Amino acid sequence: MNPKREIRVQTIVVSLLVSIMTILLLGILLSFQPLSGSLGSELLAINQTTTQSANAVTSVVTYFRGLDTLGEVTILFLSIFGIGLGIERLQEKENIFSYDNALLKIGADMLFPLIILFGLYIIIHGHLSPGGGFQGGVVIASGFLLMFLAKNNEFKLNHKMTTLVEALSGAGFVLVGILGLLLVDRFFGNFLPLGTLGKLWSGGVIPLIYIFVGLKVSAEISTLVEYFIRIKDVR
Amino acid sequence: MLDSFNQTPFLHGVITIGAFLLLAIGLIGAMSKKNLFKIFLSLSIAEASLFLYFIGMHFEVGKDAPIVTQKVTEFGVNMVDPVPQAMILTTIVIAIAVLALSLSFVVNYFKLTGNLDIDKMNELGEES
Amino acid sequence: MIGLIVLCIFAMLILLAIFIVSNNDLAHSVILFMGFGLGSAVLFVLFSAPDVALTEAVIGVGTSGVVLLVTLLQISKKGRNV
Repeated sequence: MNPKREIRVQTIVVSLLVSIMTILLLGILLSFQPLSGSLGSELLAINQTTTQSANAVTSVVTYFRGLDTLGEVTILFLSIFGIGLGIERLQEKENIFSYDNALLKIGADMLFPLIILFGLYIIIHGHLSPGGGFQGGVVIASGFLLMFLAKNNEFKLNHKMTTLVEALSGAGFVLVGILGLLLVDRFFGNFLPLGTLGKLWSGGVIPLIYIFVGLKVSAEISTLVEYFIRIKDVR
Repeated sequence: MLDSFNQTPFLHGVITIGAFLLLAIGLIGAMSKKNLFKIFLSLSIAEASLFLYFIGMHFEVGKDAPIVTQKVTEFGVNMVDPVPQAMILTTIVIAIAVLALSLSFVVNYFKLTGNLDIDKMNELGEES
Repeated sequence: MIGLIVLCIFAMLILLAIFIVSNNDLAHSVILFMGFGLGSAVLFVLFSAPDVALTEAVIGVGTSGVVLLVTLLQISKKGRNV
């Protein structure tokens, strides 16, 4: 038999199978009703009495499912660690975008504190409005990114400082969980006064956890961006 | 006529078919393209379709975000489910970390061998 | 109105995804990918998930765009054959 013909028969069979599976899968997906109102409505019902946090997503991330967040932060740390091991980087590098502009540098200097302040605002108000540790941490890292792009070699991260911030905030994150385990019944339990809903000093342990998460995420993403900006040239 | 566009079943149908098409485009790109960079970009598109499906299927028309404001004064009344949003929130941050890790592999592989064509990757096997 | 808006944005996202996958220039793909992140952030706002929208807007446009572009700068012409 002609080998060309065999391949064609195989291709037709495979494509028919794939199309049948696709149609079946679309049929199943279109008739699927998500299980809404089981866990989520339960958590929403007890949210006000247990956490007093105005943002229910924040209380799910940090309080009800704090262990998931711990695992997530661990994955983030491990992947940044792998990047740091793998990428060869330089201390001084040629300007990758080839410009040297005084106006840009002064403008970046003026914008940098505002971006850091905005990131801190997002972190601290995570239990009142949309936002929190992850978003604010990445906003702070984008401020560092602006400085890396505008002032190429004149701006450097203090690596001792970032490592210290990262280690201390990770340790503080775990410490809050262990304190919750010791003082009340569960890991990431609430051992601080709850306060009233909608005030800055409310939510018990939630703002503390999100401040630690925000510091850790900002240190890690800034380190990642610096690794990629100061990468050693291949060419 | 126009009213039926604003019902929840129509919205869920749009989200299902759209997210399925995005997933299919991403997977086809990951399977058919030869460049390693392009493969990771296509996988990112497939990942984003998953986020859209997960959030969109737990939304119903007329429901508010799970945040208490001056307008919405009580939890649990007419609010979307907060658990999928919390899950996707952590997943997006993991996705960028994994994308950066894979791109560091891309850079290191290009530095070692000088090409990114996956058909020419035979460092571990015999010469073909 | 929300059904039609979601339909239009999904159509735009699918077109963007087709362009990203089928484009021969990797730099064009990266720029379109940042637009893709912005469109999905708008969809998250429409699905009343402002937390996720904020994260996707910052990460999908800022950080992943920069990481992809800096990687692309390292790849010379030989590695850009699609």
